[in-house]
Amino acid sequence: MGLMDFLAADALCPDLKSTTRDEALAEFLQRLIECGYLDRKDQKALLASLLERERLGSTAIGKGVAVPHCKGKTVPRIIVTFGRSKEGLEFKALDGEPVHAIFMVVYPAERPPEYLQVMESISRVIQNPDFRRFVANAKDGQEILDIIQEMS
Amino acid sequence: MALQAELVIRNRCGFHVRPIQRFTQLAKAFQSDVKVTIAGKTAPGKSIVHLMSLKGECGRPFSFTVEGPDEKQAFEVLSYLVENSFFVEDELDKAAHPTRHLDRLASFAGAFKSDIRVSVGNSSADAKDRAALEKLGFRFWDKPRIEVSGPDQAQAEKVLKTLLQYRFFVEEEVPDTEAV
Repeated sequence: MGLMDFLAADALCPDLKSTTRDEALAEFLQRLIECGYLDRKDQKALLASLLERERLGSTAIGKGVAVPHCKGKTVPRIIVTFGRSKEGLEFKALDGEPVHAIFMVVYPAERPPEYLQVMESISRVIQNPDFRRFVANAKDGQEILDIIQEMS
Repeated sequence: MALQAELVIRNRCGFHVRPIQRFTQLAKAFQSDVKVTIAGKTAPGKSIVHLMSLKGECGRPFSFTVEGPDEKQAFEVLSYLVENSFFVEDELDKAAHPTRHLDRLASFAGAFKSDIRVSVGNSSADAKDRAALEKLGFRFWDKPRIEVSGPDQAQAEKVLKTLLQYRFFVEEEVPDTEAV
Protein backbone atom coordinates (compact mmCIF):
# COMPACT_ATOMS: atom_id res chain seq x y z
CA MET A 1 0.00 0.00 0.00
CA GLY A 2 1.25 3.49 -0.77
CA LEU A 3 0.76 6.99 0.51
CA MET A 4 -2.23 7.55 -1.76
CA ASP A 5 -4.08 4.73 -0.01
CA PHE A 6 -4.00 6.70 3.23
CA LEU A 7 -4.23 10.27 1.98
CA ALA A 8 -7.55 12.01 2.66
CA ALA A 9 -7.66 13.42 -0.86
CA ASP A 10 -10.84 15.44 -0.34
CA ALA A 11 -9.70 16.90 2.98
CA LEU A 12 -6.52 18.67 1.91
CA CYS A 13 -5.95 22.25 3.05
CA PRO A 14 -4.33 23.89 0.01
CA ASP A 15 -4.62 27.33 1.54
CA LEU A 16 -4.38 27.23 5.32
CA LYS A 17 -6.03 30.23 6.90
CA SER A 18 -4.27 29.80 10.24
CA THR A 19 -1.37 32.01 11.22
CA THR A 20 0.02 29.85 14.03
CA ARG A 21 1.03 26.22 14.33
CA ASP A 22 -1.61 25.40 16.92
CA GLU A 23 -4.38 26.98 14.86
CA ALA A 24 -3.20 25.10 11.76
CA LEU A 25 -3.33 21.76 13.56
CA ALA A 26 -6.88 22.57 14.68
CA GLU A 27 -7.75 23.58 11.11
CA PHE A 28 -6.52 20.22 9.79
CA LEU A 29 -8.63 18.34 12.31
CA GLN A 30 -11.67 20.48 11.57
CA ARG A 31 -11.35 19.70 7.88
CA LEU A 32 -11.01 15.97 8.53
CA ILE A 33 -14.13 16.09 10.71
CA GLU A 34 -16.09 18.00 8.07
CA CYS A 35 -15.14 15.39 5.48
CA GLY A 36 -16.14 12.52 7.73
CA TYR A 37 -12.74 11.02 8.52
CA LEU A 38 -12.87 11.81 12.22
CA ASP A 39 -15.55 12.30 14.85
CA ARG A 40 -16.04 15.76 16.30
CA LYS A 41 -15.98 14.36 19.82
CA ASP A 42 -12.34 13.34 19.31
CA GLN A 43 -11.19 16.76 18.15
CA LYS A 44 -10.06 18.09 21.51
CA ALA A 45 -8.16 14.94 22.49
CA LEU A 46 -6.41 14.71 19.12
CA LEU A 47 -5.38 18.34 19.21
CA ALA A 48 -3.96 17.82 22.69
CA SER A 49 -2.03 14.77 21.44
CA LEU A 50 -0.65 16.68 18.46
CA LEU A 51 0.52 19.49 20.70
CA GLU A 52 2.02 17.04 23.19
CA ARG A 53 4.00 15.49 20.36
CA GLU A 54 5.29 18.94 19.38
CA ARG A 55 6.34 19.48 22.97
CA LEU A 56 8.59 16.40 22.77
CA GLY A 57 10.28 17.91 19.76
CA SER A 58 9.18 19.96 16.78
CA THR A 59 8.01 17.86 13.84
CA ALA A 60 9.37 20.45 11.45
CA ILE A 61 12.04 18.41 9.71
CA GLY A 62 13.70 21.24 7.85
CA LYS A 63 13.38 23.17 4.60
CA GLY A 64 9.89 24.34 5.34
CA VAL A 65 8.27 20.95 5.84
CA ALA A 66 6.58 19.54 8.94
CA VAL A 67 5.08 16.13 9.72
CA PRO A 68 2.91 16.56 12.82
CA HIS A 69 1.43 13.25 13.94
CA CYS A 70 -0.29 11.51 16.83
CA LYS A 71 -2.27 8.46 17.73
CA GLY A 72 -5.92 8.48 18.76
CA LYS A 73 -7.96 5.81 20.52
CA THR A 74 -10.88 6.27 18.17
CA VAL A 75 -8.95 6.86 14.96
CA PRO A 76 -10.10 4.01 12.73
CA ARG A 77 -7.03 3.76 10.49
CA ILE A 78 -3.99 5.74 9.35
CA ILE A 79 -5.17 9.07 7.95
CA VAL A 80 -2.79 11.42 6.15
CA THR A 81 -3.62 14.92 5.10
CA PHE A 82 -1.65 17.76 3.57
CA GLY A 83 -1.77 21.50 3.98
CA ARG A 84 0.01 24.48 2.47
CA SER A 85 0.67 27.77 4.20
CA LYS A 86 1.69 30.49 1.77
CA GLU A 87 2.77 32.89 4.53
CA GLY A 88 4.61 30.21 6.50
CA LEU A 89 4.04 29.02 10.05
CA GLU A 90 6.38 29.15 13.03
CA PHE A 91 6.97 25.52 13.97
CA LYS A 92 10.13 25.90 16.05
CA ALA A 93 12.08 24.12 13.33
CA LEU A 94 15.71 23.39 14.09
CA ASP A 95 16.78 25.23 10.95
CA GLY A 96 14.65 28.19 12.02
CA GLU A 97 12.71 28.24 8.76
CA PRO A 98 8.95 28.78 8.71
CA VAL A 99 6.89 25.82 7.53
CA HIS A 100 4.98 26.01 4.27
CA ALA A 101 4.17 22.33 3.61
CA ILE A 102 2.63 20.06 6.23
CA PHE A 103 1.86 16.37 6.09
CA MET A 104 -0.27 15.52 9.12
CA VAL A 105 -0.72 11.88 10.13
CA VAL A 106 -3.13 10.46 12.71
CA TYR A 107 -3.30 6.75 13.40
CA PRO A 108 -4.94 4.22 15.73
CA ALA A 109 -3.66 3.64 19.26
CA GLU A 110 -2.20 0.32 18.13
CA ARG A 111 0.10 1.66 15.47
CA PRO A 112 -0.51 -0.31 12.26
CA PRO A 113 2.52 -1.86 10.57
CA GLU A 114 1.90 0.33 7.53
CA TYR A 115 2.81 3.44 9.53
CA LEU A 116 6.52 3.30 8.76
CA GLN A 117 5.69 2.65 5.13
CA VAL A 118 3.60 5.81 5.09
CA MET A 119 6.47 7.78 6.61
CA GLU A 120 8.78 6.30 4.00
CA SER A 121 6.42 7.43 1.25
CA ILE A 122 6.19 10.92 2.71
CA SER A 123 9.97 11.13 2.89
CA ARG A 124 10.19 10.11 -0.76
CA VAL A 125 7.89 12.98 -1.74
CA ILE A 126 9.80 15.47 0.40
CA GLN A 127 13.14 14.33 -1.00
CA ASN A 128 12.09 15.29 -4.50
CA PRO A 129 13.97 18.53 -5.20
CA ASP A 130 10.97 19.98 -7.06
CA PHE A 131 8.39 19.19 -4.40
CA ARG A 132 8.43 22.46 -2.49
CA ARG A 133 8.54 24.61 -5.60
CA PHE A 134 5.72 22.72 -7.35
CA VAL A 135 3.51 22.80 -4.28
CA ALA A 136 4.15 26.51 -3.73
CA ASN A 137 3.06 27.21 -7.32
CA ALA A 138 0.11 24.80 -7.45
CA LYS A 139 -3.16 26.59 -8.15
CA ASP A 140 -5.45 24.37 -6.09
CA GLY A 141 -5.83 21.21 -4.04
CA GLN A 142 -6.24 18.99 -7.10
CA GLU A 143 -2.92 20.12 -8.46
CA ILE A 144 -1.26 19.49 -5.10
CA LEU A 145 -2.81 16.03 -5.05
CA ASP A 146 -1.44 15.31 -8.52
CA ILE A 147 2.02 16.40 -7.40
CA ILE A 148 1.95 14.16 -4.35
CA GLN A 149 0.68 11.22 -6.37
CA GLU A 150 3.36 11.63 -8.98
CA MET A 151 6.16 11.95 -6.44
CA SER A 152 5.10 9.22 -4.00
CA MET B 1 39.48 4.61 10.47
CA ALA B 2 35.70 4.29 10.56
CA LEU B 3 33.84 2.91 13.55
CA GLN B 4 30.81 0.72 13.05
CA ALA B 5 28.05 -0.37 15.42
CA GLU B 6 25.75 -3.33 14.81
CA LEU B 7 22.67 -2.95 16.96
CA VAL B 8 18.99 -3.77 16.87
CA ILE B 9 16.01 -1.43 16.87
CA ARG B 10 14.39 -2.14 20.22
CA ASN B 11 11.51 0.25 20.50
CA ARG B 12 8.21 -1.17 19.42
CA CYS B 13 7.35 1.80 17.24
CA GLY B 14 10.59 1.47 15.34
CA PHE B 15 12.90 4.11 13.90
CA HIS B 16 10.29 6.76 13.20
CA VAL B 17 10.26 10.55 13.28
CA ARG B 18 10.97 11.05 16.98
CA PRO B 19 14.01 8.74 17.21
CA ILE B 20 15.21 9.91 13.81
CA GLN B 21 15.16 13.53 14.95
CA ARG B 22 17.14 12.70 18.07
CA PHE B 23 19.67 10.70 16.11
CA THR B 24 20.20 13.44 13.54
CA GLN B 25 20.33 16.24 16.12
CA LEU B 26 23.12 14.46 17.95
CA ALA B 27 24.89 13.31 14.78
CA LYS B 28 25.01 16.90 13.56
CA ALA B 29 26.99 17.92 16.65
CA PHE B 30 29.99 16.12 15.16
CA GLN B 31 32.19 16.81 12.19
CA SER B 32 32.45 13.12 11.34
CA ASP B 33 30.41 11.58 8.57
CA VAL B 34 27.60 9.31 9.82
CA LYS B 35 25.79 6.68 7.79
CA VAL B 36 22.90 4.46 8.88
CA THR B 37 22.05 1.09 7.34
CA ILE B 38 18.80 -0.80 7.89
CA ALA B 39 17.92 -3.93 5.94
CA GLY B 40 20.64 -3.32 3.40
CA LYS B 41 19.64 0.26 2.66
CA THR B 42 21.96 3.11 3.68
CA ALA B 43 21.19 6.77 4.26
CA PRO B 44 23.14 9.78 5.55
CA GLY B 45 22.83 9.90 9.34
CA LYS B 46 22.35 13.66 9.50
CA SER B 47 19.33 13.85 7.19
CA ILE B 48 15.90 13.32 8.73
CA VAL B 49 14.20 12.99 5.38
CA HIS B 50 16.59 10.34 4.09
CA LEU B 51 16.47 8.36 7.33
CA MET B 52 12.68 8.36 7.14
CA SER B 53 12.98 6.35 3.94
CA LEU B 54 14.72 3.44 5.70
CA LYS B 55 11.64 1.83 7.26
CA GLY B 56 13.28 0.93 10.54
CA GLU B 57 10.87 -1.56 12.08
CA CYS B 58 11.28 -2.92 15.59
CA GLY B 59 13.59 -5.89 15.68
CA ARG B 60 15.49 -4.95 12.54
CA PRO B 61 19.29 -4.79 12.59
CA PHE B 62 20.44 -1.20 12.76
CA SER B 63 24.00 -0.39 11.94
CA PHE B 64 25.72 2.92 11.70
CA THR B 65 29.23 3.98 10.79
CA VAL B 66 31.07 7.07 11.89
CA GLU B 67 34.19 8.34 10.20
CA GLY B 68 36.11 11.52 10.87
CA PRO B 69 38.11 13.52 13.38
CA ASP B 70 35.65 13.08 16.25
CA GLU B 71 34.41 9.61 15.40
CA LYS B 72 35.10 8.11 18.83
CA GLN B 73 32.98 10.68 20.61
CA ALA B 74 30.22 10.47 18.00
CA PHE B 75 30.26 6.69 18.18
CA GLU B 76 29.85 6.66 21.95
CA VAL B 77 27.07 9.22 22.02
CA LEU B 78 25.10 7.66 19.17
CA SER B 79 25.58 4.11 20.47
CA TYR B 80 24.21 5.13 23.84
CA LEU B 81 21.22 6.74 22.18
CA VAL B 82 20.44 3.67 20.06
CA GLU B 83 20.96 1.20 22.89
CA ASN B 84 18.54 3.22 25.01
CA SER B 85 15.78 3.08 22.42
CA PHE B 86 16.53 6.64 21.27
CA PHE B 87 15.10 7.74 24.64
CA VAL B 88 11.59 6.95 23.38
CA GLU B 89 9.75 6.26 26.61
CA ASP B 90 6.43 4.84 25.39
CA GLU B 91 7.12 1.53 27.14
CA LEU B 92 9.45 2.70 29.88
CA ASP B 93 8.51 2.21 33.52
CA LYS B 94 9.22 5.85 34.30
CA ALA B 95 8.74 5.51 38.03
CA ALA B 96 11.54 2.94 38.10
CA HIS B 97 13.99 5.38 36.48
CA PRO B 98 13.41 8.73 38.16
CA THR B 99 16.96 9.97 37.65
CA ARG B 100 17.49 8.77 34.10
CA HIS B 101 18.30 12.34 33.12
CA LEU B 102 21.46 12.04 35.22
CA ASP B 103 22.36 8.74 33.51
CA ARG B 104 22.06 10.43 30.13
CA LEU B 105 24.10 13.43 31.15
CA ALA B 106 26.88 11.33 32.67
CA SER B 107 27.00 8.96 29.70
CA PHE B 108 27.13 11.72 27.13
CA ALA B 109 29.66 13.71 29.12
CA GLY B 110 31.78 10.57 29.46
CA ALA B 111 32.11 10.35 25.69
CA PHE B 112 34.26 13.48 25.58
CA LYS B 113 37.86 14.15 26.52
CA SER B 114 37.09 17.67 27.74
CA ASP B 115 36.48 18.56 31.36
CA ILE B 116 32.79 19.11 31.90
CA ARG B 117 31.32 20.62 35.02
CA VAL B 118 27.68 21.03 35.95
CA SER B 119 26.61 23.75 38.35
CA VAL B 120 23.41 24.36 40.23
CA GLY B 121 23.42 27.41 42.45
CA ASN B 122 26.75 27.45 44.26
CA SER B 123 27.36 23.73 43.91
CA SER B 124 29.07 22.03 41.04
CA ALA B 125 30.12 18.54 40.02
CA ASP B 126 32.04 16.64 37.42
CA ALA B 127 29.43 15.78 34.78
CA LYS B 128 31.09 12.43 34.18
CA ASP B 129 30.70 11.40 37.82
CA ARG B 130 27.25 9.84 38.16
CA ALA B 131 27.37 9.73 41.95
CA ALA B 132 28.37 13.39 42.12
CA LEU B 133 25.48 14.32 39.85
CA GLU B 134 23.14 12.47 42.21
CA LYS B 135 24.42 14.58 45.11
CA LEU B 136 23.93 17.75 43.09
CA GLY B 137 20.31 16.68 42.87
CA PHE B 138 18.81 18.64 39.99
CA ARG B 139 15.61 17.58 38.28
CA PHE B 140 15.06 17.03 34.60
CA TRP B 141 13.29 20.36 34.21
CA ASP B 142 16.02 22.35 35.94
CA LYS B 143 18.54 24.19 33.82
CA PRO B 144 21.97 23.57 35.30
CA ARG B 145 24.94 25.51 33.97
CA ILE B 146 27.42 23.47 32.02
CA GLU B 147 31.02 24.44 31.44
CA VAL B 148 33.21 22.60 29.02
CA SER B 149 36.92 22.95 28.55
CA GLY B 150 39.11 20.79 26.38
CA PRO B 151 39.97 19.49 22.94
CA ASP B 152 36.43 18.49 21.93
CA GLN B 153 34.68 21.39 23.59
CA ALA B 154 32.61 22.39 20.55
CA GLN B 155 31.09 18.96 20.08
CA ALA B 156 30.49 18.44 23.80
CA GLU B 157 28.76 21.79 24.09
CA LYS B 158 26.46 21.04 21.15
CA VAL B 159 25.49 17.62 22.48
CA LEU B 160 24.91 18.82 26.04
CA LYS B 161 23.04 21.92 24.85
CA THR B 162 20.72 19.61 22.92
CA LEU B 163 20.24 17.48 26.01
CA LEU B 164 19.30 20.50 28.12
CA GLN B 165 17.12 22.02 25.42
CA TYR B 166 14.92 18.93 25.38
CA ARG B 167 14.98 18.40 29.14
CA PHE B 168 17.27 15.41 28.79
CA PHE B 169 14.63 13.85 26.50
CA VAL B 170 12.61 12.88 29.57
CA GLU B 171 9.10 12.35 28.27
CA GLU B 172 7.18 13.54 31.29
CA GLU B 173 5.37 16.74 32.05
CA VAL B 174 6.88 19.12 34.52
CA PRO B 175 4.81 18.86 37.74
CA ASP B 176 2.25 21.67 37.98
CA THR B 177 3.80 23.01 41.15
CA GLU B 178 7.07 23.50 39.31
CA ALA B 179 5.78 24.85 35.98
CA VAL B 180 6.81 28.43 35.31
